Amino acid sequence: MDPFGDSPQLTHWVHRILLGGVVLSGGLLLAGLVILLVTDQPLPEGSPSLAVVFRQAVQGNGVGLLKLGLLILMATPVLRVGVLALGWWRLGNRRFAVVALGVLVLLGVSLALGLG
Amino acid sequence: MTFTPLGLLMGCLAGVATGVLGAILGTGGGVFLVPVLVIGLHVPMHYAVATSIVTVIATSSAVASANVERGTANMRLGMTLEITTALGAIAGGLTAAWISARTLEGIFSAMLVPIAVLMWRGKASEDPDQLPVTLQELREESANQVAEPLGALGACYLDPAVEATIAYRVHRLWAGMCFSFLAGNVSGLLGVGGGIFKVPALHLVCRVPIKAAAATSNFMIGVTAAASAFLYYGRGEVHPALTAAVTLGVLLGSILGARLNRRVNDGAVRKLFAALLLVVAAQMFFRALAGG
Repeated sequence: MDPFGDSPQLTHWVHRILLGGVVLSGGLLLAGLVILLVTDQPLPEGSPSLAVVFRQAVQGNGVGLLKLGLLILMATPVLRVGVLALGWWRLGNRRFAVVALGVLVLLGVSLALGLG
Repeated sequence: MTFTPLGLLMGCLAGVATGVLGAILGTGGGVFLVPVLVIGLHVPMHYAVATSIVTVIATSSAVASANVERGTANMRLGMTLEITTALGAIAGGLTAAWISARTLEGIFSAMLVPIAVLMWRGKASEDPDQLPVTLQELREESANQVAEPLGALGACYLDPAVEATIAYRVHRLWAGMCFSFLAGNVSGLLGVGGGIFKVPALHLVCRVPIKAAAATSNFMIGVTAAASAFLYYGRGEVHPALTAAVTLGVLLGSILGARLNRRVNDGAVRKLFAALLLVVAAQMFFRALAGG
């Protein structure tokens, strides 16, 4: 690893994760909104369980697509932290891998408090 | 709470305006979006904060993906500061559940005043006394030293403006962590990105060059917002259709704003926006006082 910066492969993966998360969630949000408005479904409220959201999204339901898009968007920074933890660990940069794991634990606490 | 297609369109337009302003002024836009949703579209305060937090994740992820590739975002520094910023955001997100909408509006209006003043005064500039060294100088310096010249958190990036690779060390990390906690707390409580605190702290206290400070702050904001977004989502305060419409609007506005950026007078927009923020702050303050 270059002592003056991070590995180019790792930064490229982080770039891909962040951009991919935004593009995928943006696509799902757009599709969900269009289906909701075109089919004149009632606009969704509340927060159903993850299993319900996935089932609805797989069925092409506008509400499900919308909620899956939001969850993917919210999970994108979490995935980025996970990729960095793994990447730094594999590159032998254990110190920052542990720091990233600490951030991941905090995000897990938030996830458990919110969705648990 | 229900929204008609017209309401969603208005939310999307508010998002576009937020994205355009954010791209021109270099802010996250939450300071503009929350008042527009609350005062303009009559969205309850907690829902407006939750919507803003989700849009912050979208813009932060989009901008950070480019900054990481360019090398301006310092991922090791950002990750270290994310420990305290996430803690602050969780504390803010939990606290928001116990605070009434009117009290939250009062706190938000109080926060807008210093932001408006900072906005009026303009961007922080590079302090010539704190200019970092070029990478070449640093490599020559490091050839004579055993220790890592940048420390564990230092980094370097190519600055096209000066056609050189700029290298820097990070000073007073503990102070940066304290400011990050504060920024995370404000973000979780009020739905703003918190860059308004983090960028000056990283630049002036930790002595990180302004471009790297702004990019690193933006890199961190996604995690800060995600830490509290799950709490709002769990409480059912993330309205899917409204949040989707506003988020798509913000992303579209950010692209438009980036194109407009070169054609508009940044200083004039900044001062107009600062004055507008003061008016909005007064309006939200009186709503909070009236309690209805």
